[in-house]
Parts: sequence; structure tokens; C-alpha cells
Amino acid sequence: MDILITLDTIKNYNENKVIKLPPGSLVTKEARVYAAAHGIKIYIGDILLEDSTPLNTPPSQKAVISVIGEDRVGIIAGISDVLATNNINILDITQTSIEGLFTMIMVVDISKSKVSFEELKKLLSERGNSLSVRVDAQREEVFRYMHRI
Amino acid sequence: MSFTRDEIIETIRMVQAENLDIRTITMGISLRDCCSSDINKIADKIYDKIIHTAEKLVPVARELEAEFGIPIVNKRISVTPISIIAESCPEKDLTPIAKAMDKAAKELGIDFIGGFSALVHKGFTKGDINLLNSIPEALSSTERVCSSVNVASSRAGINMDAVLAMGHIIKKTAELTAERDGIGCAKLVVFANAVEDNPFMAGAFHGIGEPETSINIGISGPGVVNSVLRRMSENADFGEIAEAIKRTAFKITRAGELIGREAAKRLGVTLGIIDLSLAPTPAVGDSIANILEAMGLERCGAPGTTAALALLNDAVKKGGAMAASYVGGLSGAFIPVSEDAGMIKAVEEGALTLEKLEAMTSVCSVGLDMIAIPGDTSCETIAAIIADEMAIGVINKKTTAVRIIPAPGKKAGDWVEFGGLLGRAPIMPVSNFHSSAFVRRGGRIPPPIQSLIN
Repeated sequence: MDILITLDTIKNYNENKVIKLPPGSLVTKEARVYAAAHGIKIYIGDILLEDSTPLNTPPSQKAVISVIGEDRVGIIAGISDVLATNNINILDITQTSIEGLFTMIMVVDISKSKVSFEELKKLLSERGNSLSVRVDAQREEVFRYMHRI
Repeated sequence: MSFTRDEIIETIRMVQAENLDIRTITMGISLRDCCSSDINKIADKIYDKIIHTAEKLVPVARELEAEFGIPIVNKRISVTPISIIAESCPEKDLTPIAKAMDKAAKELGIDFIGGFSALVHKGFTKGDINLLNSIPEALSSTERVCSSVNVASSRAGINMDAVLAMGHIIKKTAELTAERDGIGCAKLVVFANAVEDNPFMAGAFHGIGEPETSINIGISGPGVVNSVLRRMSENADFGEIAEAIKRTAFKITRAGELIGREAAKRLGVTLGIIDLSLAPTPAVGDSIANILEAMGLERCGAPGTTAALALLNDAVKKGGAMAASYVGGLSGAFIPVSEDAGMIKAVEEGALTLEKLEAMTSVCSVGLDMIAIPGDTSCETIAAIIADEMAIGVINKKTTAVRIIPAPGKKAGDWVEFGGLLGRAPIMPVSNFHSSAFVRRGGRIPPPIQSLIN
């Protein structure tokens, strides 16, 4: 009998969605996280092992959009248009224009977005090009990790 | 808004203007199930295993790059030291294995694959000898394979037979890649106290205490630290400088931690470690030398450089240690000459010498790194340079390394060009006094006493 069940043991069960282990088996946290993420149920004897939540908190559904460039008419309208078309809700917006340098930062909710994040980035940067500004979208976690303990 | 505007702008500036990036995502892969007594079988098994295991590495890295907006410069693989895998194989030339690794790396879009390695700090096995003998041929006939040899440790001392052998191997490797200034040597590292989870090349290998697969992250960001220091008042004292570096290192490391956790999750692989290193690139401003100069030195290498580097190295560790859940690898500032525009300039102007670099390596990771020396330097002199560097590591209980390039046909003051991340470097003069009688003695320098620590 295996005493210790690790991530690799679980991986080697391949396509099995239900894994039955004899009573007393020890399953590492890492293996449980992997199983939970891949919809694998682990039974120890007759008891279903509870899903383990990963070390990571669930992925945030927010993104930060930043726009930097020369000020002109229609930047916010142009960017908001892309967001509205793709069902992305603006949660917060801040904008300044100092000596002609325009910066705008938006926090948006991407949970109901019609397009993938990659596609959204592409659309935003295309729109940015036509407005001669630089547009970037990043998942919110980057800022949370770097600026909050 | 959950973040202030300034915080968001700070992050964006770090990435867009100050070269903040994740230097490398390195996937460690155990090859211990690839052993065989037939070298071709080993090569096939290794190729299959790497392709199968790391299939998603590059796509996932690209995904993360796009979503989080932080560039991931290199995607790499480290494997179990090949000397162990090929131990039971009677074939003496292990080049076919290196070629299989190279082929897998090319197919996966991996820029370097490390682990054509041996650990010989206390002595050699048959597999170790075969590996060492195969290094020149392996490095000259492949593009992306990196090799490392651990010749010393604080518990075993320095294997001087291995040190002398490495002098010859380095020279031979340079000769076989002479048409490209000896670039083979840029992929070969000699270590004291090598670590098992190093994500950085050329010294990465997947140690024998490591899991089946793991993800190790090397962070970067000298450019960010440099700008922070340049924005500080000239009157800031060392306490304030250390504090500023700590804060910055924390933020940089957090970015690495985030990418590491996400990568591990998406690949279904154990998150190994975050390496708290400041790794420079040839890009202007992304330089360790510039940071030292920002502290008030006219040029890197001036008296005071070692103290400045010691402060920098320690502050980076203190800030980074809190930011990451698992810290490991080499974790310290790197001072590779050819990969750092500030170092290159300092050497060119005569401010920075080989001897000063050696002193600097006693307070930082990792060692004499990417140093080009005249092509006519003897094997014995190279071995003696290695021995000195190993002694620093062994006595100070830290990792040190030598990656030195005796550029064929070049003299002090000439230049070598490797291109890309490996950069370019002026040839540094080496002492003309001989050490051959010393290094030819052979045997092992005993390990240092572990008490009486002054």
C-alpha cells in the first residue's frame, strides 16, 4: 500500500476522475489542490476527501486598464466603447492631464466579458493606436501583490 | 479604488521604463527514470520525457505575460545531473545525450537547458569522468545545453584534481568554439556549494532532493533599484539607502511570487523557489554597476565597491525574504561582466579588474561570471583562478562560481561579442605569474573548521 500520495501519484492516475485509496492513506496538500483543480474526487476508504483550496485565493475578476499619451478629444469615449461592446463594467476611473500628458486608469470587472483577456488586450491596443495613446490591461493581482501585504 | 493612482503608475513605470521583468521561469525535471545501459535509449527517453513534461511551459509563460503585463524573458529547463543518469552506460562520449536535450529545447522554444552536470566535490565516479570528458564536445555541438560542475563544498573541501581538469576543459571548450570567441565557455560553470534549485543559467540543474517536477522563478530588476536610488537625495545615509532597496526588492519579488504561484497552478507542478537575485541585462540602466555608482562611487570597481555591493546584496535579501513564501536558488546580486553595461564600461576604463571582481564575489552571489580573458592564458592559470574562487565559497559557506572565457586569439583590451543576453565584453588582463606547480599538486584541499569563526 502507498503510505504517501503525492502530486505525481495523482497525475499518474491519468483520466480517472475518481480515485479510491485504502483507509489510512496520506494525501499531500499539493495533491489535493491539484485534484480539486482538475475535478478529481479522492476517496480514502469510503470517505470523500474534502476539496482543498489552493494557496492562491480564487482568481480576481478585475483588471486595471491604463492609458498614457497625448491628451485629445475622445480618449475615454473610445476606450469605454471597447469595454461596453464587450460587456465589461467600469468600476472606477481616474484621469489627469498635466501639461498635455494624459493618464487614465480604470478598474474594470471582466467576469462577464464576451472576449478572452488576450483578445481584450488586442482590441484595446488597436483602439489605443487609432487614438495615438498607449493602452495596457493587466490583471488586478499584480497591483495587489506588489503594493499590499 | 483599491489602489492609488500612484501605485498603479509605479508598477507601470517599473515595467515600461525600468526593465522590470521576470528573468526566468525554469522548470526542473527529474530524469531519474531515464537511466539505461544504452546511450541511445537514454537520449530517446530524455527527449521524450522533456517534451512531454514541459510541453505547456512556453504557452503558459506567454499567457501569464499577457495577463499580468510583466515580461517573462526566459523560459528554461533544468534536469537531473546527466552524470547520474548516464552512470550505468558504458559509452564514454555523452554528447548524444546533450544533443537530445538540445533538440527538445529547440522544439519547445526553450532558450537554455541546464543539467549537463556532475557533482565531484569529493571525488569522481565513472559517470562523472565520462561527463567531464564530454563537456567540450557537447557544448560545441549544441546550442542551448548548459553544463556545470561542482568541484568544492564547505563540507568536503576543494577537489583540486577536478579544478585542474576544469582548467583544461574550459580551454578545450573555448578552442572548439573559437570561431565564436569561445562561446561554449559561456555555457559552462564551475561551482563551489552549488544549489539544487537554481533557476539561472548556465548553472541550473535539478538536484537529487528535488521533486519530480518543479517551477523555480528568477526575478530581475536592477533597473528599478537603480532608478529608486537615483531619485533619492544625495544626502541620504546608508540606513535610508538600505531601506529604499528593501522596499523595492519586496515589490519586485512579489511580482515573481505571483507569477510563480500562477505558473505552478496552471502547469500542475510544485512551486519550488523564488530566487531573490538582481540579474542585470545589457540594456542601459539595467545594471548592478549603475546601482553601486548611484550610491556615490565614480565608477564600479573604485574603492568602496565591495562595501556598496555588500549593502545592496543584504538589503535585496531582506526585502525579498518577506515577499516570497519559498526563497532559494542563488539569491544575491549577480555581477556578470559581459551582461552588464555598467560593468563593461568600468572594465573598459580600467576601474574594474579581475582582482577587484574576486573581492566583490565574497559578498554577493555568485562569482567570477562571464569574464573574458586572453586566449593564451594557460590551463593551470585558469585552474588557479577557479581554486581562488572556490576557496572564497568554501570558507564563507556560500555558493561561488566561475564562468570564464579564454577567448581564442584575443589579447587584453580586445573585445568578444556573444550577442543577446550574453552580451559583449572587453578581454581582462590576467596575472602573468605562474601557478602551475601549485595546481598540479592535486588531491583535495580539506574542508574548513566549522567553529573558531573569525
